[in-house]
Amino acid sequence: MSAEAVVDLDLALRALADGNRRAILRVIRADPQSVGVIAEEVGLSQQTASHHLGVLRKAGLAVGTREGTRHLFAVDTDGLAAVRTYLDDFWPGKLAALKTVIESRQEDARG
Amino acid sequence: MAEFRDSIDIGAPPETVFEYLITNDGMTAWMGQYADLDPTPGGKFAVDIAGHPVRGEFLHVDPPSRVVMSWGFAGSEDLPAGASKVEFRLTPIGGGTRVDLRHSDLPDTEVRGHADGWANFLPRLAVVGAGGDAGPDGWQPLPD
Repeated sequence: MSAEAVVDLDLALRALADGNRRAILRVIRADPQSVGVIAEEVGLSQQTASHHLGVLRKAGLAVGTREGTRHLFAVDTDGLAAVRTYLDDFWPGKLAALKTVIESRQEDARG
Repeated sequence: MAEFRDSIDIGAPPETVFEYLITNDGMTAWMGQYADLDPTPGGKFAVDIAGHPVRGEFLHVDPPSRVVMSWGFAGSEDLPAGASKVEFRLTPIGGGTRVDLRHSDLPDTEVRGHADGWANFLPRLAVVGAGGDAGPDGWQPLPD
């Protein structure tokens, strides 16, 4: 994985660490929505919702789209795919670390 | 409820592997930076992974074949302390150990549309709780 991709993933994970932002993603996952609708659904002011949408957009998790004159926000599935890949690696990564640690210490004990 | 399964073969006997699942030093050698473990049924299971406090208790401790702990994050709404269950089964295989991991009782997230992906994604998210902050073990530290 390139350094750039890792940095993007870090941004995405930080963005997802916030409950309001996860709630926003839930609101827009099926259909794009306006800031007004998002703010109302999540129970935030429009200003706060806009701030969170900005964080999600920078993290590659949400995209802005236009429908006529309306400005809507939708889930960016590419960004989510990267995060899912990371999460799928959690236990496999941990188990690999367990194996490495034990086997290297076995070697040391023998050597 | 969702679950995750995985397994790995390790070139050491179950007695050795088991120590890495129930001792503070053993645990932090492969997962987390801090551990406070009391490996008796009902005993404390606390591991901090990349700044995220995993909390629960030991449910079963059967050396050297099986250990089960409850697993959640202190302060998390998605997966509170002790909410899910992690089970390690150790089986001797020629000269080594097969470790079977099962992480179960993961909450399914309500799914209206886009069933594919979200049902899988949000529970996992809760599990590692954005552990990418510092880059958990097994991952290259992020550049400053």
